[in-house]
Amino acid sequence: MVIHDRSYSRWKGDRAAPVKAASVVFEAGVKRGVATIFRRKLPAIGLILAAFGPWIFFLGVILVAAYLRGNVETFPGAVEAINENFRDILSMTPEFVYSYMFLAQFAFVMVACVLVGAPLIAEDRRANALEMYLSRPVTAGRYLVGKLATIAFFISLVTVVPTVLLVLVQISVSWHDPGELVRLLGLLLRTVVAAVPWVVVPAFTITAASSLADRGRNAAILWLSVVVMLEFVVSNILRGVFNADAFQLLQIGFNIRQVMNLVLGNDVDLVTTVPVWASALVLVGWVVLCTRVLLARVRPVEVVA
Amino acid sequence: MTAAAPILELHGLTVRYGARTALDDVSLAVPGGAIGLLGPNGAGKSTLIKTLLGLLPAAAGRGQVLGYPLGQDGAALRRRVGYMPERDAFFPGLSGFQATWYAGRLCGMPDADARRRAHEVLLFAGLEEARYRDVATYSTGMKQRVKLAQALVHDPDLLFLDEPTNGLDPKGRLEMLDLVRTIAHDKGLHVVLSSHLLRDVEDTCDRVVVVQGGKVVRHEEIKALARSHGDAASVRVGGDVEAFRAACAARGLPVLEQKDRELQVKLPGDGQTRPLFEAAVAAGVVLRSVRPVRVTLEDALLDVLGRAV
Repeated sequence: MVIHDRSYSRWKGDRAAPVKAASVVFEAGVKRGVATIFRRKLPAIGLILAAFGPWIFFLGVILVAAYLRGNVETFPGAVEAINENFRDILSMTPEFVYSYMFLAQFAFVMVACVLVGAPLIAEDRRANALEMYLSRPVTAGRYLVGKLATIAFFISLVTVVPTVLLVLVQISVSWHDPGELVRLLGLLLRTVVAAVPWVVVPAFTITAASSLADRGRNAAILWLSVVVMLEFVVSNILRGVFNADAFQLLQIGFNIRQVMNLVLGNDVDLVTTVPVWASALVLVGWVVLCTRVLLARVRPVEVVA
Repeated sequence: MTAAAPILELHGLTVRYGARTALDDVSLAVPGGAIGLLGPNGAGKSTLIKTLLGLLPAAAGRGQVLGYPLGQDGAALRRRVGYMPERDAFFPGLSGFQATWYAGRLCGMPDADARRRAHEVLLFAGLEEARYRDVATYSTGMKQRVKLAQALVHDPDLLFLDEPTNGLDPKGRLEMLDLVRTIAHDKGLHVVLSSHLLRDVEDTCDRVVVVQGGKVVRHEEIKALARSHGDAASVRVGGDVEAFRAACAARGLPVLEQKDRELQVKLPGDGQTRPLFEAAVAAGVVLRSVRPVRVTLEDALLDVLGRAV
């Protein structure tokens, strides 16, 4: 007995509605990324705890300090103690923002890039899905925007989002101090701007690497090789041999740190004679290079002339 | 657009892969319905489809598909057409249902509509419980079906099917052709079916476009193509066979086959056998038997392709 109607019927929906291809690709990418992370439940829980453990601790410190400040009579001496022990966190300095958002979360950006970013285009290439995408009302540009937004979302999730939340919590407990409030609002704005290169550059780099491979694993290996070689090997050897700081420009991480610290107004430990504008220029050039790679690799038909 | 307006119109279309010319000065006007794109492997059928979809740029020429000029607003055109690629192509990590729903969403369908249509077209394509399995685990036949469902989910006006029966067993092939016939003849969609298999086109299409070496060598109704090549006659000859062959050739009657004293001779367009008897008289031979042989599309096509080479 036939239960379902198996005939073909015409669709009577709105055929003129705008196509939001980039957001559809982004939504699917996020779902797939979450599924990839949660493929093995226990490692996933461990990874999430490791990524957000410090954040939970910092949040706890801010909230406990706020509670103690409001109950000084009950806990005499406790306010001074917590202020003394957790000065960096409670004063929410640009240095703290930098060290948390960049240094502490560096490893998790790498993990996000390897787990979520590497397969983004590589797996589509392997399954010939580019032909499926681009034979629909999806342009290469919209496809790439969707894919870049996906990896940018995951990088933001372990960097800028928790940092901004910490600043917001600190703002919410500092409302009684107008001077501190203004400073924190300024820091919030600087944090968001400083996060731009930290999110955008790795997102473009891993997506470009993904477009150059036909398997997520190969894309991850390619990306890690490029990052390790530029960041730790080639630049240091050349810098040592020629005794010139200019070779630090080969380090993508160094350039990101320079720009971040300038935006945050930090006086940091970067011993270099390389001007920040040169680092910014290198980052822009790197993004342009990645964009060219992406546009060359994301085509419906590969022409081998 | 009126019913009589051509759905495809090309003028001097040329497509090149680097130095190689894949389509050479193709001009064509197709009125709609079920159109077969026929030709040997490497003839340029897939290139033509990809150019019509706006996936490949034209080196020269112009044209329109469903009223959209080639090379302009490809995204708007692709919203109104469905495409089933020749090779294995699927969205990785998705089940048949998810892939079809996703294809609908990419075409601008609202979420709820895309879900409902995905179920409908998957049932139509014959994927029932299997629609919840990962496409990567599908058999070749199931992959062809899910590709068809993905091409249909947004209910296109024009459907491009590139070798839809590739890799299918005989039963699967018949079922796929049945689905294509239903879409083309009962549901009012225009279908362009590319195939190197004559039977696939003969079974499903009203018109045929024959492509050879990047050129359109014939375009007409299938019935007219077979008819235009006339019929043939199987003739058993008593006497000098070579003299009879020469007499036939002199009267423009090509000999298609010869087995000993039995010759298959193509008759003129009107199917008259009189020239055969005239040739026999001229050669001084006796015709012991004359039997009509129906010219199939295959014979007609081989003749067209033979002349194009």
